[in-house]
Amino acid sequence: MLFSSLVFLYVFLPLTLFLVVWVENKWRNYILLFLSLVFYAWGGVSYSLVMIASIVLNYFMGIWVSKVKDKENTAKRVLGLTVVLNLLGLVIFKYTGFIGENLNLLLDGMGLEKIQVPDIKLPIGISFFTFHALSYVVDIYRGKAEVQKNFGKLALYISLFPQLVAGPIIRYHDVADQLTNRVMDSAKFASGVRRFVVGLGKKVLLSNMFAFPADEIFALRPYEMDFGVAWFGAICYSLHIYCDFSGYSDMAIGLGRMFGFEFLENFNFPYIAKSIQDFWRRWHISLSNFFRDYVYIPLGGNRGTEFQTYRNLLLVFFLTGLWHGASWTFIFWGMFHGLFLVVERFGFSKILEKVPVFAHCYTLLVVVIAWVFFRAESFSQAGNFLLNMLGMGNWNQNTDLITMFMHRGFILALVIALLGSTGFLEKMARYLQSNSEKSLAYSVIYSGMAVVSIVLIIGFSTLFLISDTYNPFIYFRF
Amino acid sequence: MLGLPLLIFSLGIKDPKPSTENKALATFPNFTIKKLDPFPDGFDRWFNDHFVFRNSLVSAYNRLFINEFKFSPKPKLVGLGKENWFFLMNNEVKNFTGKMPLPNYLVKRSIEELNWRYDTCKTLGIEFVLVVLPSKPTVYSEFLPDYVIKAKDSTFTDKFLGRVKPQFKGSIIDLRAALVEAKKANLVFYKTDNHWNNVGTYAAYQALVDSLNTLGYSISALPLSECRMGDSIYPSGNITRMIDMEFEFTEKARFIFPNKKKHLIERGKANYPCPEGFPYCWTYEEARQGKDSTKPKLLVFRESFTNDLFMDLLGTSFYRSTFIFDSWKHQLDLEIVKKEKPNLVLCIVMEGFLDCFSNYPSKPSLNKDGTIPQK
Repeated sequence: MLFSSLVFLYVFLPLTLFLVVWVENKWRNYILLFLSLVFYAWGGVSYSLVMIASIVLNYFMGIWVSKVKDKENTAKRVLGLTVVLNLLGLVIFKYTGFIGENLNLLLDGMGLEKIQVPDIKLPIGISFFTFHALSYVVDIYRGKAEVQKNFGKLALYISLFPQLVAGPIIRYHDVADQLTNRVMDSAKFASGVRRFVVGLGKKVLLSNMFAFPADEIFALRPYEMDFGVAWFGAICYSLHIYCDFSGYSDMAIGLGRMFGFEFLENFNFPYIAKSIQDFWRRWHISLSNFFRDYVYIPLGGNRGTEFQTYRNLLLVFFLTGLWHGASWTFIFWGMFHGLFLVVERFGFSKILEKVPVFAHCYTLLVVVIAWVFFRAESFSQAGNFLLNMLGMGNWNQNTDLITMFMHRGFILALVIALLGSTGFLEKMARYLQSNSEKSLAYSVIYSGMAVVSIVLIIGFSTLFLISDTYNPFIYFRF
Repeated sequence: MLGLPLLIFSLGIKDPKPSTENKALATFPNFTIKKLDPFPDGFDRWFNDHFVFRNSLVSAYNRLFINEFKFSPKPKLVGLGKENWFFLMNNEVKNFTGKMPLPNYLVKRSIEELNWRYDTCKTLGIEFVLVVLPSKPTVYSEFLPDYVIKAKDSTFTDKFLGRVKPQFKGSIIDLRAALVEAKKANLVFYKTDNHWNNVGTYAAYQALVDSLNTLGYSISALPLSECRMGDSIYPSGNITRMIDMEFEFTEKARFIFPNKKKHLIERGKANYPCPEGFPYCWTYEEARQGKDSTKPKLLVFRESFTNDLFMDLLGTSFYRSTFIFDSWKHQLDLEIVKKEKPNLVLCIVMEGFLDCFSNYPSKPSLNKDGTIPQK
């Protein structure tokens, strides 16, 4: 089930809110766990078994690790086994096809017979719940959290529906306490509603508006686009992916708040970053934190030689790319970012610090170019697209094509997305909120605006969502 | 607010606006513990289809996009081009942009199928001719949305005909150029429909008759002077109806009415059985009869472009004309061919459907006596 589906918005969410608010505090976790399992099963009942298996496995591995915690070598071995078992599941379900395809290429090159690659369907959210489970066991091993002996609470941590299918990746030690002691109050609930609705608007109203031109332009053949069109397509995709992903994270954080959880932020205006390092402190923060805590630091982080630091960085970004998808273009995207991080570390960051405007432009340039690899279906498509972006393709500006996409709705979405992604809208909201605390008039205006905005966003999102379910009839004329 | 739809649904309040979709609304799925996997998807479909005031909400969405944004609400299905010209974004556009694939097997199977049809008809003493009709993007490409870009080298039709024509034993009549020429004088397609208007129909008819004459048929086109003409408002085409903008984009159009009493005789249908699932059985078979028995007999396997006017006009140029509309399958129904015993069989295909000939399995040639060979 997706947050941006009519069933979620108008059946699952109201029923869940009603039940969670209505029941006594001691039953809330059980209700949430049950509904989280229903939420997950909605995307494939059979695949729920994979997640349940992961919960059971990590429950016992957690207990085992906690029991042998004092024996360092044994604890290390148990942890190693846990990591291998968890990653094995991820590899089987997510990377079998990719590994098989590459193996076949190799075998073909060596003149050997190809192997049959099994077609394994990807259980939704496996990358997220695997990382949640890993975080739990590693945190016990490190002594950052106590073992969770209550199976239901661990199951709730791994399967909690707001963060289950698209993150943010919650580290166990960040929410361990909230599983038992959390407060649901009206202020937090209202803040959660506001955050959820903002996310819904980003996902449904803004992101989809940029998706169409991006899809159409990425589907053009190289000779059909030119410098301007290619840049327009890449920028549309950059806004699409930002609004889509950060919108989903906003919804997750908002839902969490409604149920009393406080998740860490996942995005912090990444497109105003002043370097690639800064970008990764602002983009998909929970993933960066996860890789920093569980891969980069264990590898030695920046404590070794310069060479070791670069190696660690590149390895982390190789894994970041691979985590996003089983394809070489994703890996290249990750490595591309990693490479610029190395360059910045090599001394380029000092130049960036001195010229902030240049730093902004450089960061956006690298990020937008990298998105082309992320979006393209092959290296040749990405290459041809980039040639156009670099002005090495056509130069006959096809401005008509761009103006065709720039309808009023698109322009409105573009203005909101640009203002929103620079933090302007949030600053404005904060200003109004802070003033509303000082004067009654401001308070009325702010509250009124907030209510109207929420109603409008939900209303328009419903219109947009319902139109997706509509399959019109091609009339036959007689 | 989120609970409102469930409340309205439970009160049984109905949407006053009727549906304009081409599907039966989903029914509530069966819930069985033994087979749970299909339930969520079935429930989603049922819920989406029965969402309160769904038709009115969809209509509001369409109006928001068309009236306020001046952009198609379903851009992957309906293209809003320049000056309110609407296009179907299906195979008509894919053909035009060259994005309709033309693999070798498609060409090979199309040649085999068309030659089989030609040979089969020949065995029965009948001429088989393929007629290719232009789609709206071909004729009015200048009004397409700018993101629809014509194939650099050639369209699917150009490539298809370029490879099929040299190896096809029969004749192919390509009406694309005729319509492009005709549009210089008059509007030949509706702006809100993917079909040609009456003027375009007449232009196509005239070009077809001219082409048949060059193939040796001595037939004449009914002159316009034998038709009554009048300008009227065309309320809505199929494309604008798809996005529920039925009366928003009316256009002035010229209508042509041939003098049927003078040139045609009432003729009953043979009542060929309508294929199962075909939604337009009342028009599966159409019959026309001219007054001159010396003229040839015609059998047409048609589609929606061969409209009433086209059939009436062709009816006046032949003695007996039978038209079969086989749900865009473009098959050669041998039983009908044998019963009708026409002089000429026309297979009329709009260019967006030209890839249809590879859909049929290879068939053996007929025996010399016209019977189907035993396996």
